[in-house]
Amino acid sequence: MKEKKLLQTFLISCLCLTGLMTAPSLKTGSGNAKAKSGASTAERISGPLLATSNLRKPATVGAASSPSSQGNIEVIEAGAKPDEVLNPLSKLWAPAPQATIPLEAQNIVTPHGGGSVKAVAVKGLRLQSGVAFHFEWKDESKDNDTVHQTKFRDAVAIQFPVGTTRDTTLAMGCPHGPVNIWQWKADWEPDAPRMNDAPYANEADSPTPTLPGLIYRRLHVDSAKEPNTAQGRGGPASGVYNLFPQSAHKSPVENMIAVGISSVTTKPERFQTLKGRGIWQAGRWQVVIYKPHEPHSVQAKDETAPEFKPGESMNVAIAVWNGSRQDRNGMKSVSNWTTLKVR
Amino acid sequence: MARVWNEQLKRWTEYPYEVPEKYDFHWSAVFNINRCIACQTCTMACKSTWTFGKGQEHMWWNNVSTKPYGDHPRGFDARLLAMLPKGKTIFEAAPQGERVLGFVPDDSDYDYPNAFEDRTAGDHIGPGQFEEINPGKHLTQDKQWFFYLQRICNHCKKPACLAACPRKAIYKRKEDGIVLIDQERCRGYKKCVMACPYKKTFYNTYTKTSQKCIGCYPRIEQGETTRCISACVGKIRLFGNIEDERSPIHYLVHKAKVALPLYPQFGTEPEIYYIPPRWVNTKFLAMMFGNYDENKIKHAVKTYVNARHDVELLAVLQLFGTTQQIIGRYEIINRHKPKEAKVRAFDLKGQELFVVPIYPKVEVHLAPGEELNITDKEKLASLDIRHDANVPWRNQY
Repeated sequence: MKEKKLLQTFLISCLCLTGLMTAPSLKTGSGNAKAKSGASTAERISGPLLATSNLRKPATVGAASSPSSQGNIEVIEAGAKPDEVLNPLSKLWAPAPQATIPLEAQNIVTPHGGGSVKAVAVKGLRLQSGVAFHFEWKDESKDNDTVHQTKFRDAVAIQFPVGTTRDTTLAMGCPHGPVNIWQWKADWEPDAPRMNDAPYANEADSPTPTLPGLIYRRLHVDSAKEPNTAQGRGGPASGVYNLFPQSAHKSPVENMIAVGISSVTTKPERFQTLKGRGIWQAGRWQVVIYKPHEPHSVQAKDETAPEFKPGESMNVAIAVWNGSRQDRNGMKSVSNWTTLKVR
Repeated sequence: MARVWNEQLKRWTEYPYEVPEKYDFHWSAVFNINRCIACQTCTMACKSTWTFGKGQEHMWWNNVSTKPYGDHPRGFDARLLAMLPKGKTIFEAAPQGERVLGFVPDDSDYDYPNAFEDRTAGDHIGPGQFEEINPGKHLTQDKQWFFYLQRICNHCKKPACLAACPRKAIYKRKEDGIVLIDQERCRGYKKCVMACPYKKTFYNTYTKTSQKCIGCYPRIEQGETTRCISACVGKIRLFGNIEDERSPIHYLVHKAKVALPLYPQFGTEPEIYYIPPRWVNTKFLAMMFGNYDENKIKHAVKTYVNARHDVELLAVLQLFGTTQQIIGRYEIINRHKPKEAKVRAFDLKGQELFVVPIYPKVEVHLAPGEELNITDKEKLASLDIRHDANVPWRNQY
């Protein structure tokens, strides 16, 4: 019986992988072109997918005062209010057990990348109104500027399977096994460099006077004097549901769902209830992501969201992006599945 | 990686995706470099239509720069040429863990859209010496040269931007080959900016998404040419369906072979074709338009210079800038009677658009010895241009 179950798990994983990895055909507007057998599937998945045996010994990254939980994330009960735990430096986080999760470079899918962040320390608190996670990792530079062309953001994300890990894969889930991803982004914080939201009153205003140093210093710009219309604000990207335009950031945390590599999608606006805050000091980021409990009303409830019932455990995965190392998309430092216990 | 046929390189190349073998209609255009005056009307037509928004200050979906020194963003081609091993495409030369070879330009690289405007180069001076010469001194002699390069997105058949996008936010339309970035899916990773060898995808610093030339698809869908093409006062641009053998641009590219793609060696199969300038160093042109094959350039220039002996080529050259409608096909009337020869153009639905004479006569009175400011009589003779005073001139020169 046990063997049968194991076999089943293996087959599901294989299905997921082949679904992800088959050489895709050129995406076209009216139907995909027929795909011939392109790259060898076996070649691409025979890599170190899910390999964990050679994980490096993690460096200590968290505060020394916190109790350690040897790799398992523990979410303990706390009587605090969301606003209080949203401060990553708050003393409320001190008693929470800290799990140090080792991270590795992502080299399953091109483009490969990451690896510069070796470990992340994670804590969890269960409040009356929701659940909060605290992430802490070493990063020599604060990268929250995505206004300049060659700059990239620091970020952290936590991934939850919908159901159990048997139904999905570590690498962004699979078509019949979605994963939830919450991502905090440094450049979505209110203190990140921004372009001036107001229309340019005169040439001296443009572009981006709010930045420490102007960009395009030599470029004469006399456009965008239009009122603050959709086109004036950002051209063709305005008017679509995309949370990346700077005017759209209500919270630094994005709630997403994915069903395989390349498929990450922002959840509908009514599910964008996550909050967060990140503070960079002394060469380390400390970030809190807070998730309020799902509402009871059927319409407003996100059926795919993870539930944190006391006594239960689940698997999660963490990823960290280091902007100064050009990390973005799959170029990130990733963990394996890690057990999360709700106390 | 899949193996795909590259028609311009005439060999199988690597590409991350399978590609359609054939399109019924593929967006394409021919630009005649010989006739461009760099008035930038195309540039402003595009800018005022599509990229006047905040965060788009540095975007020039259309630009005209002076070659050999001008470029936008700075070094878009020279940097990549230096990185690219000869004989490999940007897909085949991709570094370990990447899909495409490329780089992301810095802010300052976008600062100088007019850099080196009208700066000449000369074959008799070595690298780095051009600063010492007096620009324009010998402009009218063939020893010094420059030319204008008109650039928009090439809507490549193997788009590097599409190949590099890790989340498949870029797609190529089956109905017309136009390459678009889905602004809802784009998350501003700049992999397309890195990959596009022509640097015609741009990162929008306000929306934090990447944006590119949309091929004026709302106009194409109505049978009209793009803004940059319809606004061209020099009549240097001709739009059409490269897949249709009856199309005038199919004739220029595949039959007359007078128009050549820009940097075909990058391997993306770009779909803008250029009639190379007749006064420029052949070796330089071969690097830009011939995949280092000088014979292709020589053939194109010779064919173009002798256009008046070729009724069909001259007929097709009359179609440039004559209408804002897309010309689907053309026919020549009275082919063997030069005085009465005309070309008739039809739109994509087969409706007649216009009829124009193939040999329009223009009276030009020149003072002896100063024709075209060309003093080298032998050179002039080799160009096969009649330089007698008081003769009817063909307007192609």
